[in-house]
Amino acid sequence: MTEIISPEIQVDNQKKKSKLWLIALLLLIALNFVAVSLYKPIPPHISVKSESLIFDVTQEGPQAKAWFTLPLIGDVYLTNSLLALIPIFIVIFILAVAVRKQVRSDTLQTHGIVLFIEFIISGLSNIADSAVEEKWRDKIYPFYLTTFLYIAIANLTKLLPFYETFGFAVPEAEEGHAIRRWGTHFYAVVNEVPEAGESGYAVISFLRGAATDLNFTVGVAIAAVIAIQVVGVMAHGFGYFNKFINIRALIKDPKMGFIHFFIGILEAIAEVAKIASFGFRLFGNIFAGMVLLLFLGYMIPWVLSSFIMLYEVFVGLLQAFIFGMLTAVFMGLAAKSEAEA
Amino acid sequence: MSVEGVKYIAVAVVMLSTIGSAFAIAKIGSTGLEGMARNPEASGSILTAMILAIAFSEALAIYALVVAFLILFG
Repeated sequence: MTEIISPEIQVDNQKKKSKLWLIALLLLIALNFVAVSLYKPIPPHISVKSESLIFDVTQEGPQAKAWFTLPLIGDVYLTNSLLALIPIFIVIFILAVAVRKQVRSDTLQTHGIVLFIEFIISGLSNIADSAVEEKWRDKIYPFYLTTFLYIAIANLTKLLPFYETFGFAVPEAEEGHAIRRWGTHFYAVVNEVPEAGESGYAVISFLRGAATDLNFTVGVAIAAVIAIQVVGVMAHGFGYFNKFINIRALIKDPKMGFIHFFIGILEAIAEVAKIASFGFRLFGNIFAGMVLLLFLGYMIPWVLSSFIMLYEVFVGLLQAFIFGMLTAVFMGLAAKSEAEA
Repeated sequence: MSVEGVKYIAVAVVMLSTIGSAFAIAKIGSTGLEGMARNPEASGSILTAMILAIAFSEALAIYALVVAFLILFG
């Protein structure tokens, strides 16, 4: 299926397309100015904790209520960052269905989105090839590419509209804003001081970027560190843990073995520190991006935040790449370290 | 001195740690470019090693940023 288009027509088409694109852009910019003049942006309300979506409305503002209670662990809250996992799963599901459809079909050539995924996967594998031995590539790369895709899709879906802006309007004890009615169930929280006798309102959004919650990032980090240990055990058996509690060296040579034993303890601490370093790096970058977008959207609401949005796309993809790449590198190290020693 | 004022001073002190991170990233970038200029064939592998090293040193500044956010909004 190839359409043959003469180059002249193609150039004509491109010219027409580019003009339409410009008009749409100008219309959007005009819409931006009109919207900002009608509804002034409200100062952002930033909390490091993600907000629970099940709450009681009280005099002091919303009080979070537990979703359900687990034995030993305690209360579980239905937070807005937990709800943001649903779009991620939908996107991953669509990708999986597209890949399956093309694998089942008779055509050998991939096209469309599957070709794009193939391109990404081959590029990422080529980059990691220098860090991972050939023997272990089949075992390590699936985890590496999965973490990359998961975090990349999480960071990209975070930039969609309605994230962090669309949600419940709840009465707030202090620093609330006035609301304007938009119909029976819809309100707009506007940048005005509420009238005397009326309570101020704040927004608890339905969706908030998954990686702006420490639970998500540390969860993925713990999974990654456990997977690193699993690769180590697969490579060396349970002798792998000799790296951390080095009794063998202590027995062999009590004098110099003590130093090796001490190094082993340091290795064990470094392994635990990996969880913090993986989790905080991702959380810090994405949370800083969210704060930057919210504050810039409040202070300079015209056009500029689009460019920051573009920068956020880059940061999100880079952080996903770094997370996956570091996991792959540490897995490669765990698989080969003992063989050389 | 009010509690708010102490908070802002604390954030300023915490963010001083970005000096070290900035120096580290500048050093990595300059030496990486030097290596690429001397050996253009190896630029691909140098670039990935460079990005990894930058990620490590940038993480220190990000820790400070997280602590600053916790002081301000936590």
